[in-house]
Amino acid sequence: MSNHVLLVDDSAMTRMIIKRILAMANVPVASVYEANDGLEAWQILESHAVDLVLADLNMPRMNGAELISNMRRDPRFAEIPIVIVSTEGSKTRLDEICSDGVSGVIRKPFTPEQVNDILHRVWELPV
Amino acid sequence: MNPAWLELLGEVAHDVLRTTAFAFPEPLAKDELLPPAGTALLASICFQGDSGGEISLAIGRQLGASLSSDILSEDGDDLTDGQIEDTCKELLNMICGQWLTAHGSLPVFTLSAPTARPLEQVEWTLMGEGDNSVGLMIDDQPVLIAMTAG
Repeated sequence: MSNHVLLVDDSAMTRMIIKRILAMANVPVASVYEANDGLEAWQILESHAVDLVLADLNMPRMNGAELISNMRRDPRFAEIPIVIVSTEGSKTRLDEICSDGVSGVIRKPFTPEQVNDILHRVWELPV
Repeated sequence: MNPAWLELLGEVAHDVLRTTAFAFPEPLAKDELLPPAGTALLASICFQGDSGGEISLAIGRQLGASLSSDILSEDGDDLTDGQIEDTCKELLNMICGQWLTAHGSLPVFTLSAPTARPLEQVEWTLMGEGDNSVGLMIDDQPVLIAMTAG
């Protein structure tokens, strides 16, 4: 199995760091798509097969919470696992967002091990 | 400004810079707060919850390029101003998120998209003289972080 990952973050720096981690991690990634915000992410979702979305919350135009909510309402994307990658640390807010069905949360700043661990968990890969 | 809030701001900035940029900042005394050589930039982010405020990061372009180079594993000479700004904005985004979480007084908050602009030397000096800023030194280059909170 090889997976297609969509990175959604308005920081090119963060997208590049995650891409590097994905390249070095022992996980089956076929391709990595990048979006600067939720709107760009939506366009990619409509035109490419995506197996996992890693999304920031604080973004212009369409933020991460809106993207998650829109994906969960659309049968085409409702089952795609979503992992939040954000500075957001408020449990109240994360609980609110996670009620929409989020597979995990990675808090910035993160380590490669944290990303690797959550990918293994989401894709149920052997450690 | 509550000194404990500033102390916490300095601590989370230290942690974010160390974790993300592999830098080891040292606290900088106010009387050592000389502006950096060359141009500088100011990144800012607003937070809003039960109350609101703004956190800003002032940094010399040279240090910004050095941090970007370390984070992105790219030659500093090849970095664009946009990449350096993006790095500084994202570092500030992390600092703000960490501070709000560690501070704990705003259980639900929203953050604005960070912005960045050039910073004049006189602005640097004023920012350093204010009682709402903390200074750090990385590789003999200064960093200022300031906060206003309502």
